[in-house]
Formats: sequence, C-alpha cells, structure tokens
Amino acid sequence: MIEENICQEKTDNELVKLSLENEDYFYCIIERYEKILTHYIRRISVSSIEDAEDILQEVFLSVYQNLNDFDESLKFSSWVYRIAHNKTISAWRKIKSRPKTVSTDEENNLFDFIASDENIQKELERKCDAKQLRRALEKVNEKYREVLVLKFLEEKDYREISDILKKPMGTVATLINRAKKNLREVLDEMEKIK
Amino acid sequence: MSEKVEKIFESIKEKKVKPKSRWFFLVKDYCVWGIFAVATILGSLAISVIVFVLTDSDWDIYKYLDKSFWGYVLLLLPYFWLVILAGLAWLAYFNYKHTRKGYLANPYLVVMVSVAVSVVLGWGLFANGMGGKIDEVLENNFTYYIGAEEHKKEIWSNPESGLLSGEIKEVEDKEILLEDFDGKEWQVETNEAQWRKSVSSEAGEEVKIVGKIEDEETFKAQEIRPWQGKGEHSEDDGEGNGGNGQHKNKR
Repeated sequence: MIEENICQEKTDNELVKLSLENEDYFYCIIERYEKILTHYIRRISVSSIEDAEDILQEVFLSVYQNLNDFDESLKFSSWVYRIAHNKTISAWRKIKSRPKTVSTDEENNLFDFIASDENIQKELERKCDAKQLRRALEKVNEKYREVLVLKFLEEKDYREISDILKKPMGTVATLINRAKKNLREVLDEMEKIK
Repeated sequence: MSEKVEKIFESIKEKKVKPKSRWFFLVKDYCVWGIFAVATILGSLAISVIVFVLTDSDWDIYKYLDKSFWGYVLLLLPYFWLVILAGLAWLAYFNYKHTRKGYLANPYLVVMVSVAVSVVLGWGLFANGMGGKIDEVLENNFTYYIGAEEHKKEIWSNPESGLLSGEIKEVEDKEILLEDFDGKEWQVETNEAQWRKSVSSEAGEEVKIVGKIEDEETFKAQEIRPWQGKGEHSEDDGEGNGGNGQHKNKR
C-alpha cells in the first residue's frame, strides 16, 4: 500500500501515470476524491448514503478502467466529476428516485453562495431562509439544479462546468442565468402561497 | 486510513479490472472522426447530385406548366437528396459532438462547416460529371429511385402545355420526325424554330422542344434544346424566338 505522505506529494496527473504502472497508486486517487465526490453525488441526486456509496464505487471503477482516456488538457478533477455526474444520472434514472437536494449545513452554504451572487442577493435575503431554499431547490428543474450545485457548492468555474457537463461555455453561462431566474420564480411562487 | 476508501480500493482489486488500453480509446477516436469524415464526403456526393439536378433543369419553362416560378422551384427540388444531405449533416454533427472537444463547439457552426465542405467537394465532383453518374446508376438499379432523367421526361412530356421531348428519327427541310419517350411519333414543324447551339439535329439525337400542339400528330416548334443540359443560345438569339428559326449551322 502507498504511504499517505507519498500520495500527498503527487499531483493528479502524476498519480494517473503511476496508477497505470502500479494499481496501488490508484488508492491515492480514491483517497483524494472520495469525500468530494460523495458530497457531489448526494448534492445532485440520491438521498441515502448507501446509494451514494454504491454510485461512488462505480465511479472509481470507471475512472480506473478509463485512465488511458484521460485527456491531460482537462483538469483531472473535471474529468472525474464528469464521470461521477454521468454515473449518478444513470443510476438515478435506474432507481427512479426523486432527486433530493442538499443537507441542512449545505443548504446554508448554498444560500450564502447564491445570495452573494449579483442581483438576487437582496431578493433572497428578503424572501427566504435556508429551509425555504431547500424546498425551492427541490422544485427547480433538474438541469438547473446541476449547474447551481457545480457553480455555488462545488465552486467550479465556467470552463470546469463546461468540461464536466460537456456543454459549450456559452450554454453554461445561459444555464446559470436561467437557473437563477428559475430559482427566483420558484421563490416568488412560494412567497405567494405563504 | 479510511475504511470507505479501503473498501472501494479492495473491490476494484477483487474484480481484477485493468485499465482499458490506450489503443482502445485511439481506435474509438479514429472511428468517430472517420464517421464524421465519411458523412462529409457522402454529403459532397449528395451535393454533386443536387447541383446536377438543379443545373440540368430548365428554369424558364414554368409558365408552360401553369405554375409560378416558386411553384416550379418546389417541383424541381431534389427532396430525396436534400433529406439525405440533412441526415448526413446530422450524422457529421453527432460524431463531431462525440469527439473529445466536440462539446466546446457551436453545433450550428459544425453543421455549417460540414455542409460548406460538402458543397466545395460536391461542386468539384459535379464538375467532373460525378453527380450525373450517381443519379444514373441509382436510377438504373433502384426501382423506387426517380432520377433527374425520369423527372425531366415527366415535365417534358406535356405536348398540350407546349413541352415535347424525344428522339429525332428523321430530319427534313422544315420538319423533323420525332418519337417521344412514350413511343408516339410526331411531325414537328421547325421552320420558325430556334435551335440551341449544341443541338446537332441529327437522327438519333434526343431533344426537348418548346412549342405548340397543332393536332394529334403535329407539333409546331418554337425552340429546340438538347436533351442534356440547356445548350447555349444560337447567335441569332437577338432576333427572338419567332425569327426565321432555321438552324443555320446545320441546315
């Protein structure tokens, strides 16, 4: 087994090359991305930890099998996120479970991130709290939820989101704008009902 | 050492999976690019036939068919090939999108570039006679394919509307004996007809004739054109269609 300090010294790209020569190095990749990807999978889809773990296992299996397909012009993290995204979506379709959104702590983070973004800040402050936001996110269209999570929770830039979702950067920008608009509409609806 | 990390790592080891070889991905990439290239090349063949059909058509005869210009355009459009071209453009786009960086490009731009390349290549193929050959081969080998030739025959087999076509059987001083494509013989009066330059006016030649039906077997020609292409106008075009009409070079 590879020592933890050796794992930490290596960059992602070095670990990819080393894993292709010696599978033990893949342990470092799993260790580096296990927590991040578990959160990401749970944020965009499934509710239970067990489901997320099953998906995560498939994700790492796929990452390992496709190591030779990794294009070094991409960030390794974007490539791993892309695989996680695809696996999560397909697993989610299989189990046909209703997507859940984020946990309470994360809701607060998401609230802060989105609220700090440009024009909707005041509106959000005025209209909603974290609980409301959770309910709102459940109602937001799936494709918008994905970009909201990547942009505001995973803190990915446009290029990374483009690489993860395999969409042109212009489309990503449009999706983010629409996602914010959609979120605002959902919040307005909820306000009216209240 | 995290238990979860350990579990995932062990499960991968247990399954004895190995990374797929670099060649596997290279071949996959080449296939995707190959299909993109094939779609673009096939698109150029489609373009060569489209250009052939459109350039081989007589765009000035719509008035004889009681149609507006745009109505005639709709009649002439090679829909089969346009559908094929659209399908190939989609195939090219679909494959481009599945290249490594395909998702970064604007899809409309990809389709436009693919069609533009097909147009340039297709025009070159048309200039080398490929469009006509493809159309002919398909028409001869596929029952349900209606080629430009068949379509043209349909349009030019309307003597009541002033459009007649067929093979010259005999050439006399002021008339020709013509057998139309249904096998019917016509006496065609040519004394006032204008002959397009490339018509050789010899027995065995196929021609298109614009004129007027006189009776069941007689047709008065105003203009005689070669069956293939439109032929250039004769030098005395300026005198109009109603000139003395003799095919001066030949007669």
